[in-house]
Amino acid sequence: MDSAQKRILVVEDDEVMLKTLHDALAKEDFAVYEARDGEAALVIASEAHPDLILLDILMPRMDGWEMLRQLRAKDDWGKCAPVIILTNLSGDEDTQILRIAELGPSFFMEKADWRVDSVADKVKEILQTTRVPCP
Amino acid sequence: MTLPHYHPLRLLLVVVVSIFSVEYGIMVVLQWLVAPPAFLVNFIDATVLVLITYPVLYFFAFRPLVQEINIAQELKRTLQISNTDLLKFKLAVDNASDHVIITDPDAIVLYVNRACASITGYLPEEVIGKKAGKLWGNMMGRPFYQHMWQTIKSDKKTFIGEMTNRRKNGSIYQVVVSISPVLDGAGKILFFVALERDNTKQKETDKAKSEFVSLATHQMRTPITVINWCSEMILDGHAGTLNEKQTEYFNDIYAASKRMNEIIKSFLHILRLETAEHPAMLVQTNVASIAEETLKGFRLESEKKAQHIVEHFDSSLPSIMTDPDLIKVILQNFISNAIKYTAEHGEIVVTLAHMNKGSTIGEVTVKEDSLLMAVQDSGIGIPPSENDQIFTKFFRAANAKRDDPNGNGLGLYMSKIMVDLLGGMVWFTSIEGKGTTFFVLLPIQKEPISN
Repeated sequence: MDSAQKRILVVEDDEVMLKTLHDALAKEDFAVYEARDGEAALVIASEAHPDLILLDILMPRMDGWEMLRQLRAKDDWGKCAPVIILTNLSGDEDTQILRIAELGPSFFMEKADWRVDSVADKVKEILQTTRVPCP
Repeated sequence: MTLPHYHPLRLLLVVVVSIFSVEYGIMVVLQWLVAPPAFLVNFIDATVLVLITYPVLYFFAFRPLVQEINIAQELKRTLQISNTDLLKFKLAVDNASDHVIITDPDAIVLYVNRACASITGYLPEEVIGKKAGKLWGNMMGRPFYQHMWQTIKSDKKTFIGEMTNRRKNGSIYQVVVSISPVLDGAGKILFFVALERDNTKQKETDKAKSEFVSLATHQMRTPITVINWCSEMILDGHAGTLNEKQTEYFNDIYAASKRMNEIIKSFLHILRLETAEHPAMLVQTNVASIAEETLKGFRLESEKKAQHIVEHFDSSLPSIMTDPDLIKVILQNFISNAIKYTAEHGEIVVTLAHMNKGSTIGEVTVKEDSLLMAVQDSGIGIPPSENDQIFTKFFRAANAKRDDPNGNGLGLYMSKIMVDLLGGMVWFTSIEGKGTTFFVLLPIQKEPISN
């Protein structure tokens, strides 16, 4: 694996979306890890420390917000690991706004409003502007 | 009831004729007993006299009397009916499920119905004679009560609002309240009549409903995302080269799926506007910069049709207390319609102006210092027969449907709700085939208003 190659963890329970995201990110030369629920994501994130996490919210077993809460509470790396929320829940809703304020994801994307290649573009953009570990 | 007034002369006539005729009758009978031969002559005399007397008596005395008696009976019947009616209404009010309160002009409670006990926990006897506001906890802020008293006492109009009140046991409940002043002929306030409906349950149902829709929306947008992303991958050639026909079909799928997403988003937006407690966030807003930004977003679309967009912005526009997000959506709706329904090379004029109180815009007089936003197009116009329906949900004018069968009929409805929320007014003028202008007038508020 190329040392400059960035590693992205995609957390998504919908198989087709997972596949499409995987392909779109791989095309941009990212290494892609996959998780299908919050619990699995938490395990992979702690072990692999990916450069960025693309995180769905509504998932079985553990939802995205709970996963992020535990990630933030876990250790220094988790406290400010770059996370993009990628969901079809509306970011205008009060509950989502509260979670965004509480858990500080780098970005909130409503899936249906974005092209799949602009998701990859956004990942690149966030990686360029975010400094890890925490400033 | 008063007896009819008879003229004294008429009375005298009646009395004299009566006595005279009765006396004459007695005389005839006596004569028949004493001297039968004179009887026949006198009998004819008596009969003639009686024939004359009785009509006179009837017209002058009996008929008016009978009429008076009839009127009196009629009145009595009417009174009985109204009494029964009143009783009926009282029963209805007493037992209504809404809380009904009648107070004097100083808010001292004169009457409450039975719902008082079930909604507030107070028995009528604990409430009557006390001050209304204090009883239910005075829980709203001062501006709320000021506005309420201004409306019912000074403006003498009906006040409708949502209130949070406190029950006797201290628990909180939500009501929709309507308070109306009852005025006498001179316009003086006699009573206030208040109706309160407990809508705590309604609020809970609304919340559950909107959570359900939010989830359902998410579920619908998931397959849409899949269709979008897969179409993008195919159209971008990641699954091999497409021939012309294949590209066309995939583009169709992609466009339809994106349109579906827009419709679902509009639904969600409307639901939020219709059910949210605080749908508008008012801050000092520079409307001109929002308009600039919005127009920038439409540049590509208008350039495609070689349309000419003119900005008429007053140089000294005040910033106003309003919701920038709603202003943006309102402008987007009007501008996107203007571009859509105006032919190539047409002109679109966007105006922002400071309107002083008393100035006029066409037939509309400006009631307070306001900001005017107007979007004028040179498009297909609105058929006059459809003017009344233009702001209703899902409505699309016949000619608009012909030009763009894919519109969803939600944009103008949404704009109207938003302008209402911002305390403004919206209207339009249009000539079919020549163009339409939409006007929005927003009051320039110095202080934040509460929702």
